Amino acid sequence: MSNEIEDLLARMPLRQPAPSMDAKVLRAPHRGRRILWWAAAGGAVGAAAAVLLVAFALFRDDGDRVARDTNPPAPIPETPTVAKTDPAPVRLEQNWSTVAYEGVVAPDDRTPLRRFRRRMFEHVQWIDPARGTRMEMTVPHEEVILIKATAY
Amino acid sequence: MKETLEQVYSDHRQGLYTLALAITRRPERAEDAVQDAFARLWTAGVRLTGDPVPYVFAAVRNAAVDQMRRQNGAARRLESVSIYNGLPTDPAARAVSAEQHRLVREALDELPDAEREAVVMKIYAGLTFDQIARALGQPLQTVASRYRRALERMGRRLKGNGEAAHE
Repeated sequence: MSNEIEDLLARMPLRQPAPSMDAKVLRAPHRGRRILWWAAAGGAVGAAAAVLLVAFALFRDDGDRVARDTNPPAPIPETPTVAKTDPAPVRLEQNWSTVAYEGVVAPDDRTPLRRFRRRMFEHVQWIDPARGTRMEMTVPHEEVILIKATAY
Repeated sequence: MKETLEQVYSDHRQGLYTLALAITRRPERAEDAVQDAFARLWTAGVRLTGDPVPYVFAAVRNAAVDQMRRQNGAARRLESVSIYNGLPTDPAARAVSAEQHRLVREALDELPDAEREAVVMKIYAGLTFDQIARALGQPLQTVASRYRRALERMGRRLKGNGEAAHE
């Protein structure tokens, strides 16, 4: 009986995939490379934004006060639900940072320097609602900035 | 890696699609599942050792299950499509009558998911029990008995309907 069923099943005509499936599947490697390129481009943009933020913060912290950016990071939004009519990929980028003043130092016993420690976080999400894929990347940075202190 | 995946796709295109369709029950979802699976395999850069076929079937099955999870209940009920096409056109397959065609389709659709997957992978994808077991992450004996149970269940269903039709 099992053999009869197997024979019967084997004779059943199967629904065929659309020819376009081949193109989609075999195009997949290029899509992967695009994602990597996109990630690299996003990283470069994030790094540039971080440099601008540092420069902005340093120009603002002119006095000896403690400069501390205590703004909490903005909440990471939920994955947006995109309407079926708009399946375009979405890129969400968030950067936040803290700047802490760590006092005056004199590394070589000659020039007093004000030391700042800046911590930056870049968080990038790529969401493709059409494919249901989501990629996240968080890149932490830390840097110490020394600025010549004004002598009175 | 790329050549290996292309070869597996070329050899098992129909089987992969049929498995995805048996799970999603919608042609466009099935194609998306196959595409998703290969996109993931390509971008993951996994180094395949041994037989790649079970690994690829497992990836397509997972992608199809993901596709199903994304559908809401109404969408699932809306367009349930069989893995079978209309009546056969080639002479060898014309032996399947319209009534048999309907009964087989219904019998397969009524199987539990795990049994239906085993039947599709064995008969329509041409995998061995060993390959199916590795694709599903199940012991070989479990897969073999699942397949046997599915055929028995279908046999009873077809026999019952056949007798009912003659009465």
